[in-house]
Amino acid sequence: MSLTDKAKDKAKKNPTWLLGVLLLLHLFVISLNRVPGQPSLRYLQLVTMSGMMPFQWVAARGVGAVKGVWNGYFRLHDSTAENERLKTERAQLETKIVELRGKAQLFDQLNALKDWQVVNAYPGVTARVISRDANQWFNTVTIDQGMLAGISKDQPVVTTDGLVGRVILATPLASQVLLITDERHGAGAAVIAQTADNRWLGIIEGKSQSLCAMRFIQPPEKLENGEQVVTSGQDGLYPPGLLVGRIRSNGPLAAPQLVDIQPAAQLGKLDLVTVIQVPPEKIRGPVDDVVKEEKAKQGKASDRKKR
Amino acid sequence: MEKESRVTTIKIAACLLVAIFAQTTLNRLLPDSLERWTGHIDWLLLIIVYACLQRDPARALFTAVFAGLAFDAFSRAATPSVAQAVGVSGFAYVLSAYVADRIVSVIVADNLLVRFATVASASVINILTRYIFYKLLKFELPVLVGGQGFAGALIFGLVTNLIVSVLLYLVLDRFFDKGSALRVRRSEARRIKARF
Repeated sequence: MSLTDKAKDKAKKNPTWLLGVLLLLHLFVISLNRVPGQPSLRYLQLVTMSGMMPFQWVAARGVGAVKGVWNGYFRLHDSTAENERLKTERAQLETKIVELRGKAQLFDQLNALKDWQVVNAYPGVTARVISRDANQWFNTVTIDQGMLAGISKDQPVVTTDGLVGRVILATPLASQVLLITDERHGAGAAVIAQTADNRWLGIIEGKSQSLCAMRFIQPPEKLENGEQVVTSGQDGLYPPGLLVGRIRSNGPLAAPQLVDIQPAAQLGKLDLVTVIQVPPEKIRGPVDDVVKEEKAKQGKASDRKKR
Repeated sequence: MEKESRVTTIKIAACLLVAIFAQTTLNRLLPDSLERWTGHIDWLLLIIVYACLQRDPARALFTAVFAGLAFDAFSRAATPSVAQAVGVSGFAYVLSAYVADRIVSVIVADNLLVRFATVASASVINILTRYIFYKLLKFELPVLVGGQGFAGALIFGLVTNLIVSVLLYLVLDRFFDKGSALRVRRSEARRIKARF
């Protein structure tokens, strides 16, 4: 009987000692989380994500195709009854629909153009979302483009609807994106946003799977439901002018400290996203200038005090 | 016997791979109405409990270790610079596997009730352990899918895991050929009984 067989036999009879060993090992690994820049943990994710990416890509495409056929079948099945109903309603609604469609199209085009002025200023990489976070308590997604496509850490990720988040890990074939709804999204470096019409600055924080919150630096006098929130460009994370979402409230708000934000991008059903390749110095530039100015002011003040 | 054990290990590894896919990709492809429920299913935990039902504690505990590593690798938990919590899932899974194994070793019968008891206890221990660790590591946990807090996550997790386990274990019984294994075990027991 070999040593491993003996150990196996012992573990079968009394697994408590094995449990003890494994729990201690896990506690050791958990304590490693507190060591900054622990490379072994980074490699673990890098290797696993790169290894699994091709399978996930194929599986996601395969299931997506089956889903499309399935939905198509049911749509076809219901189409006869649906057609009859629609024919009777069509005559009454046609005029109204045409009028409203024209207005809506114009509105959408203007809106998209306004948002994409910022996005189009930089080159972008289009990527497909292949998986979401295994843990329902965290909000990240994995996309099928990585360092080989020119993606690097901290690059903003958007859809045509609005801001999605930023890249937090780039492996050669895939990248991990932290969504704006994650509680850690605003941590470390505050994401500063402003309302579109008036410049009320605030910090965006993840609140739940579908909502963000905006904590105002100075509370605005009045806010309306549906008011747009865009990135301010003062956080060193995102370029200015990216649409984050819209204020969600039951009515007008007077001097609110904290408001709910409904993200503009449909974060629950992400499919195609664009990673904007903004040079870090472009984003960091304004912040660094402010820091330099402040340092210079502080230096002058201390010189005066010394004199 | 050795070969059979190796085949079972390979089958469990294959199940873990499929579970990782289900955990990370399936939800994204389902309609919103289903997502409210499916978001709470812990596919990896269900595989671990099934490994416990095979009555090999060492294999079950190591399955829990690998499942924990995979879970953390496909989660924000392993991303440097954000907030790491590598090992928490492994810890929770190992503890859940141990409790499930103890239940299975005390109750010899393998029926739906025993399976329900093991899945339920493993689910509760898994969610509680994670919650305690995330709180200790100072994570602000968000409101979950459908707007529930921790209590909601616990109840939804328990109910969805129990429902899914019934169907999943029927499929796994076929995959692991448990029917024939049970027949062999019963015939062996009859032979031993006849000898004495």
